[in-house]
Amino acid sequence: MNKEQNNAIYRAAQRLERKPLPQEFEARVMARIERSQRREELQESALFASGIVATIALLVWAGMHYAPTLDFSFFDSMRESAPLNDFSVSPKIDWHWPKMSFIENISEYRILYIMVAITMGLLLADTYIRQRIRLRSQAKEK
Amino acid sequence: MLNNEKELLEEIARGDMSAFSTLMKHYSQGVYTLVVRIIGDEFEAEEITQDVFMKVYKQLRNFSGRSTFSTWLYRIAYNAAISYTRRKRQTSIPLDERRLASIDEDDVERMEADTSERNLEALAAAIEQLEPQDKALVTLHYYENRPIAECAEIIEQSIGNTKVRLHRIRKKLYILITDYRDEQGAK
Repeated sequence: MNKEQNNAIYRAAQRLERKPLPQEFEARVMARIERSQRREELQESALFASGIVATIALLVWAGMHYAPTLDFSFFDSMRESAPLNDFSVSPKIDWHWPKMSFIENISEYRILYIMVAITMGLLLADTYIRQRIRLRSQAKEK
Repeated sequence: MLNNEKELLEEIARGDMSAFSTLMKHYSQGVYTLVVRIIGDEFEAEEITQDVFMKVYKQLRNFSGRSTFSTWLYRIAYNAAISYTRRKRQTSIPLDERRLASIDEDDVERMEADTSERNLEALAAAIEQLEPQDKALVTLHYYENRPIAECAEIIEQSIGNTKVRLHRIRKKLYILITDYRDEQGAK
């Protein structure tokens, strides 16, 4: 008899009933893992989609707001004054941004800054998540 | 420990679900037994065991290999079960410290050496009355025959501290079986 067999606590502990694990246990865990993976993928896609939507919205908004006020006539003057392959001529760019003072129109700019910040945040998050997905799929392929 | 455990872990990290299934088949019953012993509810224990394996699957890439996989897995299970008992405020009646200190070491040793049917029956009943943390330690050390160093790693205590706790558990068991016998005698 070994040391354990001579010890009453060891022997009493061995007598404790061993409850069997339900047969469906493994299938349940597998199903939960699958559900959790699907949910993660869905969240990642939703984040990616919202990043795209925010970027498009920002571009549309900025385009609608500023495009009509921009003067692109310098392109015409460039074309007239110098041939395209003549790099010795430096065109004089004359941008005409909307005529509004920063203080007077601070709310306009604030919206722009907030939208840029949100879009950049979403795009950064999206890049990070896509990097993770790429690394995971690379590991699976190995 | 499984023979090809290292390869299995690498396969799981690569997303092989069949390797995870093999690992689960090997360890699930042991983990479930530990959790049932700690919390005492079979239904909840299955839920917690499921959570443990979900966590293992998700965090396997964080497993550094400093301890064995089994120790890491049992540590997750132990923490999950103990957290559950804390949430549910599952506590047993604490034993009187003065009474615990007054127990003679020779009496404890005599209790451990007595392998009579009557003593084993009383001890099995006493183990069921221990506090969750003590039940966990009894299961790990006396039921699963894990060495003290490994038990210490699982419960995240020092070896010295674990030895002290086991010593206190032996004294508690002595008190509990004395009370159990008194109750049986009174009937």
